[in-house]
Amino acid sequence: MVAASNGVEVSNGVKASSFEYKGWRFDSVSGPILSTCERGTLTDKLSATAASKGLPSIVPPLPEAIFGHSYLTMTHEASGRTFSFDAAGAIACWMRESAHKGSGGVRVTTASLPSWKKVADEQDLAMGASDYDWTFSTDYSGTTGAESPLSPTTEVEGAPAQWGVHTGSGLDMALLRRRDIPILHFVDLTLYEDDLGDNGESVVRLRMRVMPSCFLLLLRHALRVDGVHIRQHDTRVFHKFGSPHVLRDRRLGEARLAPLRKPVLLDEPAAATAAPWATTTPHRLACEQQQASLRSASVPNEQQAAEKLATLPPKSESVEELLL
Amino acid sequence: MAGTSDLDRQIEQLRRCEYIKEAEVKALCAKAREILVEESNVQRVDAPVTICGDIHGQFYDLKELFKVGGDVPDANYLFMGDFVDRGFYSVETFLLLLALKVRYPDRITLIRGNHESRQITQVYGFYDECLRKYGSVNVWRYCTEIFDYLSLSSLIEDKIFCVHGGLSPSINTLDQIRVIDRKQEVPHDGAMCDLMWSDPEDIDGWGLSPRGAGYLFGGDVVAQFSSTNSIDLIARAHQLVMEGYKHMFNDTLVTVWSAPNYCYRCGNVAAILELDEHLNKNFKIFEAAPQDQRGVPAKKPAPDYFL
Repeated sequence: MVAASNGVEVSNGVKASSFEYKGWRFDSVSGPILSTCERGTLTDKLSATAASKGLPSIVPPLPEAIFGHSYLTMTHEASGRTFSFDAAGAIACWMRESAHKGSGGVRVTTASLPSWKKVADEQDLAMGASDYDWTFSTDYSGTTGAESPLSPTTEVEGAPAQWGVHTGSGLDMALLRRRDIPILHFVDLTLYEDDLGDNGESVVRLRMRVMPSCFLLLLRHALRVDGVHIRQHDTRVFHKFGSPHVLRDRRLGEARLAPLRKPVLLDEPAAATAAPWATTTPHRLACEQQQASLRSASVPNEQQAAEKLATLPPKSESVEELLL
Repeated sequence: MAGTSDLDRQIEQLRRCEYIKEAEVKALCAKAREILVEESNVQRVDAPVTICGDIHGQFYDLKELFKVGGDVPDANYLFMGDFVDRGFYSVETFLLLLALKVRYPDRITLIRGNHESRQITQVYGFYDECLRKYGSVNVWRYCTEIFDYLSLSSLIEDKIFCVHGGLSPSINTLDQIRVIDRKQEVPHDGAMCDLMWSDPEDIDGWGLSPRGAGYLFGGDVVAQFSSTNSIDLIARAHQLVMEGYKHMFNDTLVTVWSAPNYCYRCGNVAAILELDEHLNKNFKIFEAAPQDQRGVPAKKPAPDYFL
């Protein structure tokens, strides 16, 4: 029943793996980031796709690290139903939203300095290029296709799958929390990431685990703009083997970070006289308030951000099901 | 003298990726400061020289770089900043480069990147690494004090201008850089900030980054600056390039990136730019150090019961 070929290197840093279990097949590939030339090809493709849908065809600057060779496709062999995830799909969703909403007014902390405000006001500098979602936020939740594709998701044609509202009890969390059942197959891929010019991090990462009775996939876009904003868009795809449907849980959480979360010069005596902070009240204030609390000064990493978001109600949430 | 043999021993130790004692770091930084304080904001460098971009604490890949480009002092190096953060060995990486600087001041030039900053290192790893390796933040303090003394840019044979990020709208001439009082934390705006943070972009003139702070500069800006200052080329780092280097604006600007397999997962190659005595360019490409030459075994992604 189990046929697995894990992590076979097919070429130049590209690794493919395939796993079959209980009527499902899980194909994944992981590879390096796209080259400059490949980025050009992707840009052209995104531009053509956008134009064909009547959207602006200008492609904004793409995330700096695009793992464009990587993908995961899950195929239900009896129905031919596929669930696919790749960087091009995630980027296409980002681009669509970016064209509608731009960055939604999120700006880095230093943007509030009078000098930068003055620049922004006085000069209408290259605003065409500026007006896009530089946080690379995406609500991508994968591509659901009808046929088993041989190549990554964007090639998928066919009737779009009809996800319906799920009225049942949702994901079986009790089952998913159990650590005594083995993980038979595990996939961990990054689709794209960008360090926002050293102002934080925006990452789209996918993890999947197959267990004897079910599988769970988590696709997460996690955004952290240092000292400003955290946002997390999660898509979970869950299936209990033998059940008639696949469940999809999507939720968006976000929070503004208080200015004081910005790292400060903990216990640094020269802090008050160091030029940048001396003139920036919030930092100085933070410094004074937190002088006693030495130790790790880092802003929230993904884990901490997830924990913080878990304490807040999600901004939006939906559970859907798809009959196989 | 005793100092030199001590230093040679420390260099050997650092070359093995073993960090040196806190007191030794303090003494090393004191010596480095005496050398760096004498350097100009536009430090003159003679050719032949090898130009390197971001390293980001990837110590074993820095060793690959030296294998490809030759060791100090046999080869003459110019590193364009971002020695620390993100990689696992920022401490060893920066201290090795600093020790080489103290030992062979005329054979290695270090200029400041935006990560050589108190604030950035607290977010991206160097602060935590110092705390973890030394149990206190003293080494971080010594190092960040030295960051303030690092030069802001270099000029090779009056023809090639090297800087970490790029140009600034408040800078037209090299003399305007020379008069900056650099001995401070990297400011959040102004000329010194721009030199370390700005990026070239295919635009006309100056652009404001969509993030709301930071400049983008176009080919016409580079042409104007180069003409005003009689330079042929701007070499900079700061941005990841899959191929290790990237020309822009009809070869009047080049980005050099020297951290292969950046963050241990991007799969990119890295480059260094060798200039001979006539300033002829030769890019050397290198890959990440093989796994068996690294100190720690590769972390296989362990299956986890994520929810």
